[in-house]
Amino acid sequence: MDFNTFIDMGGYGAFIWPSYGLSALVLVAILWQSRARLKRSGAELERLRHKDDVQEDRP
Amino acid sequence: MHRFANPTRFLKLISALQPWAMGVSVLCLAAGLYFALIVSPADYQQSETVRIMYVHVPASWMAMFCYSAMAGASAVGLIWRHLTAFVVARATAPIGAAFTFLALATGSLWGKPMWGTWWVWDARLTSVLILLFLYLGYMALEGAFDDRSRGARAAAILAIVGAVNVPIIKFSVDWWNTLHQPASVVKIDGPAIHSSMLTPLLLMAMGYTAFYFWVMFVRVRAEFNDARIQALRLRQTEA
Repeated sequence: MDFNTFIDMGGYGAFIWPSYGLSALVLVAILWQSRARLKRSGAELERLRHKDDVQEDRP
Repeated sequence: MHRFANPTRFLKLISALQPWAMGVSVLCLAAGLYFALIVSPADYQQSETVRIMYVHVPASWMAMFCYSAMAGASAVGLIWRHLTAFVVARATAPIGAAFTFLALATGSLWGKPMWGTWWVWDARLTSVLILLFLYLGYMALEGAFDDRSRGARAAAILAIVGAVNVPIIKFSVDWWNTLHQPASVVKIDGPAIHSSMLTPLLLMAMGYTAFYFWVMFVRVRAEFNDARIQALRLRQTEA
């Protein structure tokens, strides 16, 4: 099977590839957004905990 | 189940499960794509467009699976007042909405070449569109209250009432005349689909399911972080 027939998909490439592309795009987007949120909240939590410790160390 | 209502225990569990969900998801999707795009044959009626099935059907299954999980978790949250259950429901909503959007969009891309139209207002398509609105309504309602626990409870009731739509979607192709084809995998007398097409379909479905758990675990952990941040902030302003 050569590359062009694979891309052409029997003339239906214009429907098949956008289906796969859109699926990948949406799933990667929600994964990326969720991981970014976890990372951000984790960093913020560390920062606040550190602040908390500093405050408690004060006489 | 009640054992895991404890947030610390639940967090420990999902942190341990998360790499497994990721591994299963990545492996199944890689194998699934290989079978879906290269190994599996074209359909005798639908030719190559049948390959859209491998992303369309798993997305549709997950749209309903996520909604059931969201409604189930909402019910657990309301009945036993397990806040952890509300967190799971809240984390599930956007993932379910994404799968529902994909089911509609890939269905549209499949409908154009096979039915000659991007969209038709028939029972299956319309009930799935309503499912998308239920997800969006849940998310809007959930965030509309200053008091988060009130928002969680209000949204939980919406999720439970909306669950009536799930069997309607499933049986819409039997109850009404529709362009959409009836079920060919989940049938009482076994799947009416050849193994060369069933293999990629099930691999993709497993990959999608594991993907849901992976992302849900990440979102639940972020939610717990947010709750702790809020508690710490409150303490620090009081101090």
